[in-house]
Amino acid sequence: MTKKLDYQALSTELDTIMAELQRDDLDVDEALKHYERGLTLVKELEAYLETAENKITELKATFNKA
Amino acid sequence: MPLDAGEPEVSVSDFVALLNQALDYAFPSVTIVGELANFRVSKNRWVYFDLKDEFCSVKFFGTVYQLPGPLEDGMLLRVRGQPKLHNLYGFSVNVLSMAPAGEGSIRKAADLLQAKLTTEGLFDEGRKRPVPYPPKRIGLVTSRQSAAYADFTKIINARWGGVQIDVIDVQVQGEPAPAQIVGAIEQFNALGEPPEVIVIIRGGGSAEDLAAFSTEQVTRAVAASRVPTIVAIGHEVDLSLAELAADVRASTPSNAAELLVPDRKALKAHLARQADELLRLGAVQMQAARQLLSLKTDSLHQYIEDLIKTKRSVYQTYQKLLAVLSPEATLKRGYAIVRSNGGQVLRSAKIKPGAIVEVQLADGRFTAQTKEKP
Repeated sequence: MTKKLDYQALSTELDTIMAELQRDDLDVDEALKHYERGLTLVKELEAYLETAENKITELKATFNKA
Repeated sequence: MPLDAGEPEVSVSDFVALLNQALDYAFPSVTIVGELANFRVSKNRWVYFDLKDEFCSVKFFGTVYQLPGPLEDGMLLRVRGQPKLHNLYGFSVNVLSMAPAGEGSIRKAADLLQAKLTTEGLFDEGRKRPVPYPPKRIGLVTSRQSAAYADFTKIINARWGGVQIDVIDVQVQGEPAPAQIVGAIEQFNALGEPPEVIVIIRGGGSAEDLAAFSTEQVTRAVAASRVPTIVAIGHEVDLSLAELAADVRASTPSNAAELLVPDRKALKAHLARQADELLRLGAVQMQAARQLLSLKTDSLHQYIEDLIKTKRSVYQTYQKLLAVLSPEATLKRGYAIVRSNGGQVLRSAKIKPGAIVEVQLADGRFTAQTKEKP
């Protein structure tokens, strides 16, 4: 895993932006800002799906394994 | 019968001590399988019972803490214990551990325990908590050598990434299994930063192999876990009490992995649709902005045109008024302007007789001399 990304949080942010972009009273500056942020999010989420790997660690059991 | 003079005599206490020494030497522990009979609990603490077969019966003594769950006479039990001759109560086997044996007894024990724990509310739907989807950190309780472990990690890796999986390796069958599984659940719960979900899995096996997951201690530990739990034991048809007590029951270890994380293939497709939609929405917003700008330009043009038109009509009115009020227009109506010889406009008739004045008419001018007043 190259970067510590929270897929769920980013995905939720993208959903919010998409909903905002559907408003018809949106200021053009806001719309542009949302649009650019949306493109960044799509890229980051795609990268996550392509590259994120799982990490497995064994914890030493504290119980007696006699 | 005459006493053998050569044989040493011992006291009763010495005999008991000697016999126990011999028993200890011969059987540091012994595991006996037999049918439960005369089962009774005394003072909520001590347990007395017999194990018997067709020909023999042996007494056992233990504590309620060693019980695998509720028991009934007639069940087949596997008991590990130490044979002892008690100084007052005679011979019995002191229980070290005990478990039901054989499919029928295991099923019966599980049924009795299930009935007891159901009454306590351990399996109530209202106790079930949601499991984070997908979790960022999983606490896995299983045997690392098992097929269940291999299946689970394979599916998680195939579907998703970025998950931290902490594993505690436990025995999933045999006598130490319940204590180890409980220990692992408690260890995860006691961590400063516990995982978001505890996953307890084991592959298929005989009822006896899966028995650890229907013991009272494991079932209670699953129900008591502060961290939400997913439990998958055996195949789809096997249903352990730990699964009933879990927040989520998965049919198999692979199914547990599927329930825990989304499939990245499906998410990629969804993301591609979202990206298309984002482009479309961006274009729609820009188009709307452009339309709004064009509307504003049009109305600006209209405003300026209207303004010019209004001003122009005001000027035209002024022009007409000016034309009407001009001296030329007055002269045209027959008036005349009379000026003194010095060129000053005369507004009064008080002038000397014989003075020369200039008279201007609409069309030309002449000089004149004044006479006496009439």
